[in-house]
Amino acid sequence: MMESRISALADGELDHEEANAILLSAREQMELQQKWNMYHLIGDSLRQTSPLSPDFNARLAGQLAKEPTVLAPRRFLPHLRPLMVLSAAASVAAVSLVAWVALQFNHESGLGAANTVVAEAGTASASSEINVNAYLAAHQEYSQAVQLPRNYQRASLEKSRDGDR
Amino acid sequence: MRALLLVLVAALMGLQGVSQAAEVAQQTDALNWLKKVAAAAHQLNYSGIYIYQYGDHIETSKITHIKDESGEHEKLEALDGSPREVIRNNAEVLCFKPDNSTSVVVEKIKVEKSFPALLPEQFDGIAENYRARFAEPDRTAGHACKVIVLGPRDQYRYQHKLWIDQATGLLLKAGMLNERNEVIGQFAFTQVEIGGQIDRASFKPKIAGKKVRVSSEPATATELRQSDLSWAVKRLPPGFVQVTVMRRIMPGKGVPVKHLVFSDGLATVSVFIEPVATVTKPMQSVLRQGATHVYTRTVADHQITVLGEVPAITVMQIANSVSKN
Repeated sequence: MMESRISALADGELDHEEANAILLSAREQMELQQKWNMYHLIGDSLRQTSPLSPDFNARLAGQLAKEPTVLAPRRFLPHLRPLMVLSAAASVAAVSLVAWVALQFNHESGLGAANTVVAEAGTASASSEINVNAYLAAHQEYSQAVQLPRNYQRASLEKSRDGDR
Repeated sequence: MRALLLVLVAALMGLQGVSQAAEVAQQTDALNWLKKVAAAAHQLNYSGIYIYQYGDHIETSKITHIKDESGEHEKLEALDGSPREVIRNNAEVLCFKPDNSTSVVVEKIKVEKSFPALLPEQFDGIAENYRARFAEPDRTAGHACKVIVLGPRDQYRYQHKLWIDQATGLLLKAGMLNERNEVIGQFAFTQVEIGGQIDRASFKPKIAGKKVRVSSEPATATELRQSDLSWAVKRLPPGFVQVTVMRRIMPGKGVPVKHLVFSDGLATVSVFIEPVATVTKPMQSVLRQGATHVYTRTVADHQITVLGEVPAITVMQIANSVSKN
């Protein structure tokens, strides 16, 4: 729809008013994208790590290069591409499971020392992860580090309100 | 010469006294601010977006909070991952989750503290276990902030840093820092509107489905009398006091688990005790996720699991000192 109207604009088929409306809407899209980028920039700097894979920019550039070359007025459209790609990447990052890190202790230093942690022995196995999450869910009823409940299996009997289960 | 020395020593001692007095005054002033912060999160109307970050993990939530003649109402919406909404009406907290494409599950959940209402009403523990001081004023989410640092008085807890809206006292950012001054977990508003009217319609759940399954929580946890506990933590790190003890039904476990909760005013530690037969795989090491440490050991045919937003040494000392009466 938008594409065909931009095409019409490129072909000079639109009157002044219609052309203005299209340009205005394209500018709003760009503003939206800038806001989006800013929002991610804030998140990234807080996190101090890149949520995207190192070659993300290269891949994105490659993707964009594959896009068909368009007439001048259509160059508004490619700006919309990164928006979609970023959005997908952001949601994937958010659902990925958070691993627990196992710490090895230096037995010589014993418990008396404050810094007994000497090495990270890698991520915990999947089975202990599941175990830990159940304890974490119970603990979070009282702790401040509350996350919104995820996929913890709650030991609750579920009743059907409308009796259609 | 000797007299001069004496005068010098006296002057130095005087200076030290002055600086100590200044420290005490600052601590009192900071604690008064914290009381304001604790109340503001419950009394004010606000809406905004905040992030919760620990390690390389980040999640974003949208919060809307009002206080009116009918009490406190709050809606918390997860902006990433699967859609989840938590709606609080005073003490009642409901969680809405899509079950499949056409139905939604409503669960009654329990959440004692959540951002920005992180601070307790009781401050005795905080003053005893943390040194409160003001840091350089800062700006966060577009608001001028007072910054209060709560430094731990010993190695058993982390440092907390709080960014407080200068105008209203609302907590806008809260970070937990380890002994190397590294941020290990933080909440932060990226955008927030404070005050003003908020439409009650915005408290309706967005997640909707044809079929609504209501999961009524049939007492997964029941309070336990101390005399029925038969277990004790012999070497509890200083400053921690027992908040509650309960018997809890947990997923995948046939036997109820005993759950003890300890707090120093800011940090919370949970101790879980269960017969070892129900344990699928005991852990051999301390596990860490952001600021949270977990440690497990076996005592008298029971598995002891200790978990909290405290340094590894705290969970280890607690676990190692649990014994049967």
